[in-house]
Amino acid sequence: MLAVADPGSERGLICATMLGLVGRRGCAELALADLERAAGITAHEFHAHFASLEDCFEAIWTEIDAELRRRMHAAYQAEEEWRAGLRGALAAAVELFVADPPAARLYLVEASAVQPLRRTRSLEALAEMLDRAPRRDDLPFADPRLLAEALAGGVWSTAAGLVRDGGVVALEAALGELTYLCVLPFCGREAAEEELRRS
Amino acid sequence: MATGSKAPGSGAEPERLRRLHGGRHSLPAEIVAHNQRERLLAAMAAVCAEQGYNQATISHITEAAGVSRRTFYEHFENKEECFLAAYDALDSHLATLLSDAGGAAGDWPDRVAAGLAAVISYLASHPRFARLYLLEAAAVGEAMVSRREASAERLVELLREGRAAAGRRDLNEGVEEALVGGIFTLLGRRIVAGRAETLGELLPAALEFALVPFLGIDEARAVARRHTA
Repeated sequence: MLAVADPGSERGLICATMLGLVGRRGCAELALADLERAAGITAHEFHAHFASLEDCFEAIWTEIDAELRRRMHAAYQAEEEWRAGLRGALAAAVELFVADPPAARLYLVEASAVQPLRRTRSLEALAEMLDRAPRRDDLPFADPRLLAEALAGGVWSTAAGLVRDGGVVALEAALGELTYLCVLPFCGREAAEEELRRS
Repeated sequence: MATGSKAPGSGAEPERLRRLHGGRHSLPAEIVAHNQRERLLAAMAAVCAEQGYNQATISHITEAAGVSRRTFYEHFENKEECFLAAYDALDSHLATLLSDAGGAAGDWPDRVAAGLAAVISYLASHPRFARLYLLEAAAVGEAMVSRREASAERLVELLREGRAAAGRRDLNEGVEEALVGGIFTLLGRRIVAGRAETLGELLPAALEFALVPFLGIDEARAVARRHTA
């Protein structure tokens, strides 16, 4: 459970309710009145903690993002070899989302609808790992950092589509495919297919 | 050269769209209505660029377009319908650009290069439309999901031709979708950074990224260099 959504406090109860509502129905039609009703609070009580629904969303998103980064980095650092570290980092991300399906929907699917900047921030951790991939620099052309960002964006958009259409079950089943996508440009077809066979 | 469609506002930025003079005139009603609709679509892009879709209001849009609220509601039921019309017009124009550019080029890698260059170049020269298309569309909700998928699918199809052209039928399913998602993300990050007019600088990276799974790194870089150096 995310600390920010611990229902032991009023603020936590609001965040837990928000997370549940977003997880079930998305946030496109979500109104403050829906949240107040579901949490059993007044507008006054809500505004004692948050300026707006977006503000509440931001608080939850920020904690998911921090936890995701922490787990991905820990898994990555635990391995010496780049591919193993990347595989571990992606597995850690998927594990976090599978354990908390509403968090997966809020972070991967709904965030770009609320504020486009968030989705672009969310791929930073993965892009940093991809930027450390073993690569050939004998024919430098495009900026390697841009290629890493594009690849991270491709993996994240694939993950978002999986969660949107099939929930976290689909995401969990696709871990090998996500790793395949990351490995293919840097390590080639055979290495990428090894990642598919592992899953 | 695109010939089959027009972007909202006939490719012009909103501030260049002129209001028809007020008062009595002899212009046919359909021309007046067309001009108003074009201005509303361009205003939608301008307001989204300034405020974001979520914060945009009908008042913002009518003020930017220089039309009354009544005129707005003669054309659209609500803000979402106006956005969808702007998106559809822009999407149709980009589809034509992609098709024309790809049709004029030779082999598959050249068609990918020409298509990406045409689309990215257009978006770079129309920063507000770029923001509407690549960022704000995500805020609109369910009605946009199938549209965005259809938009991406055109590029996916173009890339998928690389399986046969480059002898890479063995690639795993979903590679092309991820590539297009990555390219859109790359462009979106530049727009978020407030530098949409420099999107053209991303063409080498976008092209190399799109071609590597099919051609391998050496050939992908060679094609990207040939088309963007």
